[in-house]
Amino acid sequence: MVYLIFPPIGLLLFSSVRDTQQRLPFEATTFTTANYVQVFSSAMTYKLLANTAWYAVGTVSLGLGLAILFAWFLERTNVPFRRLLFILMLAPIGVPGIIESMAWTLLANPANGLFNVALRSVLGLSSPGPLNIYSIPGMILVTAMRFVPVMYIMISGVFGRMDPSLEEAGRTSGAGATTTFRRISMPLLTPALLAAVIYYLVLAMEVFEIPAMLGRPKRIFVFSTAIYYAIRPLGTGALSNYGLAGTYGMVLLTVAGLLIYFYARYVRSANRFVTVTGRGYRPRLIDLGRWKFVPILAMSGYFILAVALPLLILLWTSLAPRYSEISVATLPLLSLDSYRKVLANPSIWVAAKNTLVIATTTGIVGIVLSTLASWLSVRSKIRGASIPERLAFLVMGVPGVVLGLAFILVYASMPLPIYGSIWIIVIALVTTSLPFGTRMMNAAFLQIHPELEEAASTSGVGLCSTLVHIDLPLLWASFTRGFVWIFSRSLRETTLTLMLYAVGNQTLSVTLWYLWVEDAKFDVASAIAVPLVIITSVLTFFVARQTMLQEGAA
Amino acid sequence: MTQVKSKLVWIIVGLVLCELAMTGRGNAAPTPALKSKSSAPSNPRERAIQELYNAAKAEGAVIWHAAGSVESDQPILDAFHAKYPDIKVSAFSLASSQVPPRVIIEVAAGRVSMDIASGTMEALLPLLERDLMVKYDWSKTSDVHPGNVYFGGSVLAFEDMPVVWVYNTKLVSKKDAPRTWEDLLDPQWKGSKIAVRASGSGFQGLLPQWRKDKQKVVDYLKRLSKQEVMPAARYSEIANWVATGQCPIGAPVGYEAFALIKKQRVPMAVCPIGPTARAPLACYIPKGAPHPNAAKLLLSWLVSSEGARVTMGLGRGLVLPPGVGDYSKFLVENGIDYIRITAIEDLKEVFTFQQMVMETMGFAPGK
Repeated sequence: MVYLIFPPIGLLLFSSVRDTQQRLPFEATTFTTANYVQVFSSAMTYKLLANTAWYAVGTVSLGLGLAILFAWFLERTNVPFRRLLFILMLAPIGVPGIIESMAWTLLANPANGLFNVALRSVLGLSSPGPLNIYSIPGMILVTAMRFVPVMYIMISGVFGRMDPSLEEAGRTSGAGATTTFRRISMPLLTPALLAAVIYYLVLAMEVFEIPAMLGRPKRIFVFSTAIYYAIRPLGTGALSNYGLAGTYGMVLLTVAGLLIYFYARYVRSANRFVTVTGRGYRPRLIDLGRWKFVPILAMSGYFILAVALPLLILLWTSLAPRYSEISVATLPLLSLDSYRKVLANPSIWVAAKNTLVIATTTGIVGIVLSTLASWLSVRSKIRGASIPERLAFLVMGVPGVVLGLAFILVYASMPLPIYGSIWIIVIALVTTSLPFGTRMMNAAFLQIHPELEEAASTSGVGLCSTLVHIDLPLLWASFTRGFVWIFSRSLRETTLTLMLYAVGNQTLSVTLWYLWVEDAKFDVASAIAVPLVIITSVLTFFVARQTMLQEGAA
Repeated sequence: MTQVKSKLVWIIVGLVLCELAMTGRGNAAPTPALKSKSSAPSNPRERAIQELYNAAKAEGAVIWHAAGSVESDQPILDAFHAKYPDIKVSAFSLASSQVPPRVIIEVAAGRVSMDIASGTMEALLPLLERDLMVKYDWSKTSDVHPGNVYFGGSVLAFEDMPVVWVYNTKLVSKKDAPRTWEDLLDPQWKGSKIAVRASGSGFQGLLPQWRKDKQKVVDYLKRLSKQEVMPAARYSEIANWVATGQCPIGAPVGYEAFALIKKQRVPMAVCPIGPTARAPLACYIPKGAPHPNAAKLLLSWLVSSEGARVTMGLGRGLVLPPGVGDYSKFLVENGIDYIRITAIEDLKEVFTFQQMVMETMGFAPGK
């Protein structure tokens, strides 16, 4: 854990205090504060801060607003077709950000986006617009739609487990529905919601591919994209400025670290607001009466915008000839040519193989390390045993683009043949999987009574045998679920793979990035995106559903 | 750079191309595959090529960086593979501006991942300063014209990439299409309707004006920036944006516009905005390349008269003097004057100019 986390962060700090305008950090000979002076005296930094803040706050506001609404519909009302709506709401969870962005450029680019063409013909407007996905609101919309299912998973439990007697007491005392919600429900929900707000603010600040794809055409940059362009300069003849990138990285890391600190504090304090008692109960469901269609419309609309339309437009683009329009006249021209091109392209096969090897290895190593860290934290009585798990938690505060930069610096300066290979990506992805993996395995260990291990120990069974023969069979369901979650996350990961890309270690996400962002080969990129989104969605949906069902049963 | 210098280069390249034109211009068919165990060639160059091929065979592969798309370079690579079947050619695509930073860090990490990289010549200056490109006497294994060998044999120019302005004919009528740089400032093109390369290289046609009056060009770019132009990562992105109608006007490289208009019949036409100035695309072998002999073999063939025939047959390659080759004719037909930039001091000026364009237009997160 120490190896995975401290050298990258250390070298990031080191590069931020080296004069690296034309050099690599380890080539520079002197320490300097010039990078910090440049960053803090530059108007650009404050613009980046403002853009990042607007983007992150907007994303969390919209995403959490929708997640709260959907959680309330599903947990506290008598909405019909609950199971179907639950599936529709969780469906977007596995759609990679890069693919969602690709689809939305086709749907809402100001010139010939499908929505804009339709709106212009209906409203008699002129081009461009009226919608513009290349904007901060556009970035917020796409990111928020991706966040809704995971936000729902995080907060739905609070809605479902709120003691209804408190609300009933309010109503008995004459309080109306609004007052009850404002004075009783909201204070009960606040700690959990605040924790969710902080956690997702950090995640929104880290998002790279969506601002990169939707912000660049309108010259909108946030911190994550500024770091990327500092080391992958757009200008011909310009060199990577690792010092500037490292300093941006330290600023972002500091802000994210502070937020994670407050998150940890709130999560601890949230336990003071315990509303689940030993009594069995089911919260009273609110009768929606003739308004039952509202949740159905809202959640179906969300599914259509987040999954159905993006997938359909990508499917169309993958089947239609390049440069053709969406029209009935194009229907006879649809073909599988793009899929044939994908199958005939050896570099795409290499990318597919790399992706599979990376995702599988990351899944196995990630879940094994997470299990060990969780076991030490939950079960071991050794002094300092919880340190690995706490270190894993720290990784949550390290944005992907910062971690990618840090790994470049570490492995380019080490004599190990890791830089440029698939293994640098595996190491980076394992590192980022630890916070998720340890959370999942902590919960699993807590559900197993330590008596079983104590009995094994009393009978003279060793630690390893106990872990393998007693804990693992009991934990197997969580272990496999953790593996599938990390595997699926690695399949759709873009930021780290793009940062660490070299010839030969390309993944499908990187291939998609170059095909779409740089070559604008929309047809071939869509032919890769459609099967990829189906695979990642099915896998991720399976894990999310199992987790929700298990939590429901518990 | 002076017009005299560029005229001199025109003459030199013209002689080479006229010779090529006479010996079967546009014939993309490669010569028969070189036998692995052929009898020893009598010609010293052929002997050197055979020796290089034998060394390359031991390496077995070569990794090619495509500055444009792999798809457009594939016929060239296929022709090489047909001649040298024992060398497996793989290719990857990356914006040429991103390659030198990559080479620098890969050399430092001791793991160079490509054998041949390419980029317009101003992009290679950082590598030249660090001495990170392999020097080689190309005349030993290729009939390359000496005028296309630069920096002591480190760099080989093989393709002109003038930028041309194009418009989507479904969205813009011929009468409305911009004809001058000033026309691009027309209010009708405001709002994400003009696509240009974010590196600023599409504006090198303004270099002659910049030399006369820097402030005038800066003012022009500031006004153009207010049109909310769309910055693209690569020229192929611009070509596709215009072709698909995402942007009605854009400035892709000429050969892509040529291929789309003449071969794929895309609804696109050229705006006669000129002049256009640019350094040629040049190839080099990074020091530490995994297959250096195979790289030398591929480059020797690429810049030879045989390789040039293949490139020209695809509507690419060198376009000077005007009117030689289909691609060159295409530029002349559309009234595009092209200035080729190759001198080091001019390349340094291009770098400064592009930084100014990026900063003025706000294309990258700057200061």
